[in-house]
Amino acid sequence: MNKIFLVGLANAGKSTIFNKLTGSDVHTGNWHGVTVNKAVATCNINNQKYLLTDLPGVYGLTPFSPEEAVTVREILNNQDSIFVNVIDANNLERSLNLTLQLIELGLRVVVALNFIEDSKKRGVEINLSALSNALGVEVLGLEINTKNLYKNFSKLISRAKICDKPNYLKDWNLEEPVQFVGKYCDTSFALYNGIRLREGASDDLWNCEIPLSLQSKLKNFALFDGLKIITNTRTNEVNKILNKCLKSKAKNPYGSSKFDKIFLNKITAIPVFLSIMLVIFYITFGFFGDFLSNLTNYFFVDFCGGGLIKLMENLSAPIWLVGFVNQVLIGGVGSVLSFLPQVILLFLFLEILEQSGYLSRLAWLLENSLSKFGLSGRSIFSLLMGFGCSTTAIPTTATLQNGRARTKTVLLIPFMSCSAKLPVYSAIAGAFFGAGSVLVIFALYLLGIAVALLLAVVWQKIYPTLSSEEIVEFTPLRMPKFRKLLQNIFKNIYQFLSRIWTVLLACTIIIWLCNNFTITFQFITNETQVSILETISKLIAPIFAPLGFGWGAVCALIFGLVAKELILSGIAVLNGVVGSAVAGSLISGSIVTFTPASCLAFLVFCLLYSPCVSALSQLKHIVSKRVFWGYIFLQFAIAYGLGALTYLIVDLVGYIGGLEFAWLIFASVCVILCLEYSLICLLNKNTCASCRRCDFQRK
Amino acid sequence: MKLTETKQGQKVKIVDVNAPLFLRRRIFELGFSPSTVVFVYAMQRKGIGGVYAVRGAVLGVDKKIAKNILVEPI
Repeated sequence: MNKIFLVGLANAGKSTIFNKLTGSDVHTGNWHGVTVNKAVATCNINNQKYLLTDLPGVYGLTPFSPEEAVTVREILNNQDSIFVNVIDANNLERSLNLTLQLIELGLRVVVALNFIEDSKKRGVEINLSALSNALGVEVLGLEINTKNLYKNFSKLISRAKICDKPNYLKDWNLEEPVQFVGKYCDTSFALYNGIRLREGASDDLWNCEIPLSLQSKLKNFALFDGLKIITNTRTNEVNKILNKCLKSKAKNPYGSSKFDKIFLNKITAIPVFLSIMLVIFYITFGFFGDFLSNLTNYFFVDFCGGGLIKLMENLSAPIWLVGFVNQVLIGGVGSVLSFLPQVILLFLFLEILEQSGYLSRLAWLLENSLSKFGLSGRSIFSLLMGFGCSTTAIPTTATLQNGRARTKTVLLIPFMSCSAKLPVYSAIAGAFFGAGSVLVIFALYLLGIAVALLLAVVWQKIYPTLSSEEIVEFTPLRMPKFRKLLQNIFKNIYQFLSRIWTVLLACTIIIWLCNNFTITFQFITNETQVSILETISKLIAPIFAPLGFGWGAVCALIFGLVAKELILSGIAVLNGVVGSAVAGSLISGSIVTFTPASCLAFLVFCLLYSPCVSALSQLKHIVSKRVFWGYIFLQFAIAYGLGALTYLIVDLVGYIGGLEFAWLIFASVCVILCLEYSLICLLNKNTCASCRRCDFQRK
Repeated sequence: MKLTETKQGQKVKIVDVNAPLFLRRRIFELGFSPSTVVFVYAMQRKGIGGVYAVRGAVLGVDKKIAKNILVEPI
C-alpha cells in the first residue's frame, strides 16, 4: 500500500488533519510536541487506499529528541512515499527551512498551508502559486475547518511528484562526500549523510558504518564552519522565496498579543499563574463542584438507586440480590459516579489551559524554578495532568528531551493527587472536618507536592540532571475551540467511566463476595460468621497498627491498589451503606471506622502509597525493573512513615474541633512547604547554576 | 555582545552562536540563524533569561543559552 506522511514543525496542525481525514482520535492541542509517536491509519484518496502516517513535529532533519528521531527515521526509511509538509501560514518563515531540507533529498513533497485565514487577520497574505513556483513543489491552502479538506487533500496528493533538487546544493560540492559515504551505507541515505559530513557532523551519520581506520578522513569533508555556511544558504533561499510570495507582511511582525504582556511580564506573570490555579481549584473542589456532585449523587443514588431497590422489593426479589444491587451497583459504583462533575471540571480547565496556549508560557515561567529539582519547565504540564489522572499524565512526559528529567517527572507524577483520590478525601475529610474539609483537602494536595519536591531534590543530589531544555517556543494564544474541548473531555471521561464499569465493577463484586461469603464459601447469614475479607485483612492489619487502621481500612487500601476509586466503594460495601451515607458510617462504629488521628493518617497514606495498577503499568514501560520495584517500596515506606507520624502527632495534640483543626493542618503543611522551598533555594544558591554551566561547557 | 546583554524592546542582529554542533544546529533551526533580526520581547528576569521574537515566533531562551548567542545592535 502506498504511504503518505504528514511532516511539519510542531503545532502546525498535522494531527488535526490526520484526525479529520481518517476519523481517528489522536490527541491534539495548542502545545509543541503533543504528538509523541507516529499514528497510522488507512485512508481512501482518489479511489486508492493509502497508509496515512502522522509524525511528531520536527524543526529539521537532525533529531534532537526521541520523538524527533521517530520522524527522521520514518522519512529516511520511506523516501519513495508522499510527504505532505504541513505548514502553519503564521510560521512560514521558519517552516520553510524544513521544506528545503525535504526538497534537498529529492522526495515527493507537497506543501499544505494551514491557518491561512489566521495569517490574513495578522495582515500576512501569501501568493500560493508564487510559493509553489519558488519551491518547485505543489502548494495548496488547506483550512482544517472547511468542508473541502478532503477534496483539497486529494487534489494535493494527485499532484505529488519527485521534486527537483535545489541549485544551491552545487555550492556545497556534495559529490565527493556522497560518493565516499555511499560505499558504507544504503544509497538512499548517501545524500543525507553527505550533507551531514559537509556540516562537520561526522559523528552523526545515519545508518552508516565507516571502518575505524577511515573515520579520521571524515573530518576532511567538512566545510570551514560548514554548519553556518549551510544554514546561511538555506536562510538566504528562504528569504528569496518569501520576497517572491509574500504579498503583504504582518502588521505586528513579532506575533505579540496583549495577553502576553500580562502572562510574560516579570511582575504580573507569577500572580496571574497562581490566580488561575486558585480559581480552577476553587471552582472544581469548592461550592460549584460540591453542588454538582450532590446533584449527581441525588440522581444516581437516591433517585435511580432508591427507585430500583423499591422496585425489587415490590417484586419480592431475593434478599441477597437486593443486597448485591444496593451495595455493589448503587453503593460502590454510584458513590464514585457522584464525583464525576468534579472530574469533568478538572479536565475542562486543563483542556482550556492547553488549547489556549497558556501552558507553553507556564513551562517557560517555571523552567528556572523546576530546574532546581532536576525537572524541565515542560514537566509542569505532565505534573498538572497528574492531578487529573496519573495514567494519562505519564505518557505526556515523552515530550521531555532530557531523559533524566523525564524519569524524575514520571516518578513524581503519582505524588500529585489524582482525581480518583478526590472522592476518598471528600468523604473522609467531610465526615471529620465539616466545613474545614476543603482546607484539609488542599493541605493534602500541598503535602503531595512537598513530598514530591523533597524527593526531586534528593534525586537531584544523587542523580543530577545535568542540563535542561533551554528554549521554549510560545504557541500563539488561541481561543479554545468548543468542539475540540468537548471531544477531548469526552475522551477523558470515557476512560474514567470505562474504568468504573470494568475494573471497578469487577473489584467491587470481589469485595462484596469476600465480604458476604466465608472462607468455606457459604453466604453469611449471621454476625458470628467470619468473611474471607476479614480473615485476610486481619492477618495484615497488625502491620498498620502504628497508623491506627483497623482491618476494614487495610482491606480498602488493598483494593485501592487496583484503582483508587475502589477505596471509597470498598468502604461503602464494607459498612453496608450507600452514597453520601459513607461519610457518616466512618464515625458511627461500622467495620471501617476512624478516629480523627487515624482518619488523617489514612488520608496521608492514601495520598502517598502506590498508584493504581494502570498507572504502574505505564510507569513500568519507562523506568527499569530495579527502579520500578525500588520506587514502589519507597512509596510504601514514605506513606507508612508519614502516616505513622501524622497519627502520632495528632494523637498527642488532641482533637480541638472541625474548622479550627482544619486551619491548623492547612497552616502546618504551608509552613512545611515554605521551609522546604527556602531550604532548597539556599542549598542550590551556589551550586546548581554553576554545575549546569560546567556540563554545558563540557559538551 | 551577548544576547543576555540586550535590553527589553531592543532590536539586534544575530552574528553567531557559540555552542556544541548539535545545540548550535538546533538554535539555528529554531530561528536564531546568522543575520536574523531579533526583537527582545519580554522579561529578562534574573536567572530565567529572556523572551525573544524571531522570524515571526516568540521564544523563551534560557540565560545559559542566550549568553552564547552573539549579536550586534542595529
